[in-house]
Amino acid sequence: MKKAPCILLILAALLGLWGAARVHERLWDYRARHQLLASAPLENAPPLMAFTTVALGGFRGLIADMLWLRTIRLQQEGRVFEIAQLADWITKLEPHFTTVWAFQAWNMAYNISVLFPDAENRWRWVSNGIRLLRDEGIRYNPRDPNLYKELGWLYQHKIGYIMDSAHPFYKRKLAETMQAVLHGARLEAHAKDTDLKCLREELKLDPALMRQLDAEYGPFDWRLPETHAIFWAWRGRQAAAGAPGVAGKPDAAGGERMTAACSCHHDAPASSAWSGARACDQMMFQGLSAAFRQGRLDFDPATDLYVTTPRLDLFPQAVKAYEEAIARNDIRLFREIYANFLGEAIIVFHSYGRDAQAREIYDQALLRYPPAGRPISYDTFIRTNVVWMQKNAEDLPPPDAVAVVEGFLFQACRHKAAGDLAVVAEYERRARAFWETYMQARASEDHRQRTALPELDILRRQAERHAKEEPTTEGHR
Amino acid sequence: MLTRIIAISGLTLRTAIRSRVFALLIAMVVICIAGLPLAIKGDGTAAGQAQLFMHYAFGLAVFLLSIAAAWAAAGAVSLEVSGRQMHVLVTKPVHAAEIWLGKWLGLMTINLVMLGLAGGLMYGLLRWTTRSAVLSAGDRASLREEVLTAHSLVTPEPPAAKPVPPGVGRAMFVVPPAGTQSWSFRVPERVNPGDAIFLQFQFATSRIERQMPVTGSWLIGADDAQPRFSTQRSFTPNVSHALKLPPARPGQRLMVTYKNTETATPATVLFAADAGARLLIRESSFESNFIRALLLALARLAFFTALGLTAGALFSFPVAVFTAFAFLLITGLSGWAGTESMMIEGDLAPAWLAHLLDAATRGVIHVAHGITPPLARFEPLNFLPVGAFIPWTLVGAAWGILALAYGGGLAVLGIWMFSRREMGLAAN
Repeated sequence: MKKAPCILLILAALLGLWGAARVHERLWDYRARHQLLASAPLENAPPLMAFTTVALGGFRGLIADMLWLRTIRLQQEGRVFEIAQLADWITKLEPHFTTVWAFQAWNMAYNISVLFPDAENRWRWVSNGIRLLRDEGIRYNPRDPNLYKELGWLYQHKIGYIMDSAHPFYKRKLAETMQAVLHGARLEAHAKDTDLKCLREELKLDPALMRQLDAEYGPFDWRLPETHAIFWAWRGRQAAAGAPGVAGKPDAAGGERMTAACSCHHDAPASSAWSGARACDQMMFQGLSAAFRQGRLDFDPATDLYVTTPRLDLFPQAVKAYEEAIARNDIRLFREIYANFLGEAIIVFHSYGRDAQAREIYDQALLRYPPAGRPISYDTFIRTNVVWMQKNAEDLPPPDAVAVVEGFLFQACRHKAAGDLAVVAEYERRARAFWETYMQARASEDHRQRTALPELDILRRQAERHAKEEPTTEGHR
Repeated sequence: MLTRIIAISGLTLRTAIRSRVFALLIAMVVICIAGLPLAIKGDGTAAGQAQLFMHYAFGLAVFLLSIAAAWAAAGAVSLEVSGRQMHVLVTKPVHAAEIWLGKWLGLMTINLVMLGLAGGLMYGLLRWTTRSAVLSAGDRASLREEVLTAHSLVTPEPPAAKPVPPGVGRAMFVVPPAGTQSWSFRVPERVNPGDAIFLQFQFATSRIERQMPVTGSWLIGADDAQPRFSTQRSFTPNVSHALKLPPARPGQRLMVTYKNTETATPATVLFAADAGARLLIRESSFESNFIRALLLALARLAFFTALGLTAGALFSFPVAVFTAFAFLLITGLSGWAGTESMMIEGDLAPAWLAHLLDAATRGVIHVAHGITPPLARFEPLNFLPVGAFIPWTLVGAAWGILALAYGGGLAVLGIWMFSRREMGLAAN
């Protein structure tokens, strides 16, 4: 009588084992696909954290889920004082899960910041997001290019772009922070030890690497968000050099999926590191394009002056970044972005009266990217683009408008020195007309707050100063 | 009878003090609370850090003390039964109720001392971390006005126009683009002249994007017809905002008007009729609110002590501890399951199985809610860290429901079972 239940129990156990074996394969695939295989040891982690990640085993995910649910609820209720702590725990529970770091940082910088109406509180949450990635995410995952890309994105887009109405405040705060350490735009050769220590330990900027980046692609103004985006993208490229599956190219199907050998399964994707490296490449040339358009900063906290103007001398470095990225990833998107950049550069050089250089770029662009139909002349290209910019002034990014207005004023200054007053008046008129068209296109307060140009007098003073500083030879690059 | 109860409670207290568990508990509470400021990561503000410290320190202290209370109570009876000390006691003319109540009173004295110690430590650390040498005068003032205080909400006077749409869901005031909405408030007489008053408001919008900011202006006027305050800013929907208003006289009428000035992407703004806009006034000091929060926590400990004692009266020590902890866990989790876990959206197939599991889960949660005491209602953490006033009526209700109703029920069960339990059996 007692045998029957025993047999039934054994059969049930066998059935369970068979079911577990069937499910195991799928679960393993799922974990590999979502990069939940924490096989690599945790680097640079304090002993308590290393112990926790091992001791909790599979329960880590469960606890992280519970904390994540709490985060969502608190965020919906606007009770955010606990969220930085919850994000810290969640990321520490899943230290190798890049998406978790990226999401938590993005959530703080983008979602939580905008819950506050004032810029000061918003900046605090943007800083919290940056710190999470810069101080901790990268510390525990130094070889993951995605984290460098995500950090660079916060500088490039959240601070550097005009999407957030508080972006002028963020830019000033970053500039203030960097100026306090660098005492200027860039790292001096004989910087004080305390400043170097602050750069290394608080801002996680290695002075040697800063100098190396300046030598390779700069020199940059380190008070600008674009420079930080370039720095972290460049670091991401360096990190990617050692990541598996990055050196290769996309698979035969043209997709991004790359595979790397795994001790248990051979189809665990390594595409993440490869796509991270490609994104770092993209951020590099985008950052350098931005530095070309707005890489000169005139900043004075006392008078609240923050004006960015083009850095024409950075054009060759931007071209170099594009060429390197296309050499590594010859994809249509990159080629199209490059062609657009060359088009913008032609207009900028033309605005500053450097037509010979603009024509040279135009010819190169035509040679490299021949149009489908009959090519238009250089003059027609310039005329069409300037008219298009004025017609679409509402959507025109501020740096493009500043480049045109300051370029015209710059030419006015040059001609003033030569005593050609009629030409001076014409450039003054064109600068004013462009400035007014652009400003009139900003009807709402919010649009003006985000994208307004500096006063014309301020731009004129910048142009006068730049005209004095720069040599008059047309061929200067 | 009272003498016997006090004698038993004295014995319980003496036994607890002599045990290493008591010393260990003190050490654990002190270490956890004192070390917490070093381990927590706030949002970067003094107010956020203070809120986080209060939230975690209070939560941790109550959690540790709840476990300790259930553990100590489970052992107070069951260990004495297994150690034969109880056999000596029951042969004397002492009723089971006197034993149970004596034990409960003794354990509650320990709880009171421990909670007082934890509360004192928390308060001291809070004062130490927010002292003038650490924070600026501005930070301290905002901390005092927003967090280290006890605010209560004042609802507006009934409006002349009825909120629309009526009858469907929650009644709302609808403010179309360029439209306005007004509320009238009378400042309560109990407000001290000079106290900061806040306008607390929350709204939804007609947009799909749940938290896309909307520009609006607030104009506050008084019954002397002088505009007292106005501001135009963008505010995020579905989040509670607080605007600091100039001090007002007790009994003064304030006219609050909102104008929807969003022009970039116009949206209709919706204020809940009951909670869309309210005044936030200082009701009492932080210190008295803190004491009420400790009393709420003590009511919870009274319940867990009763639970542990009854489990100890019924079972042996390991089983009693397991039973008490299981109930404690269910009580804690039923609150969590009712809020956070309901946000989980499964993608389980087939659909009928998903529905079945969903219905079963909801059923279990419903039953758990029915059985377990309403701890979430008396949760001090819902009040203290956000500077919300804890009324004495809530403290009274917590003691009435947790200590008297649930604790009394458990006491009756425990006493009855203990009086029927036979001591000195071979199995014992």
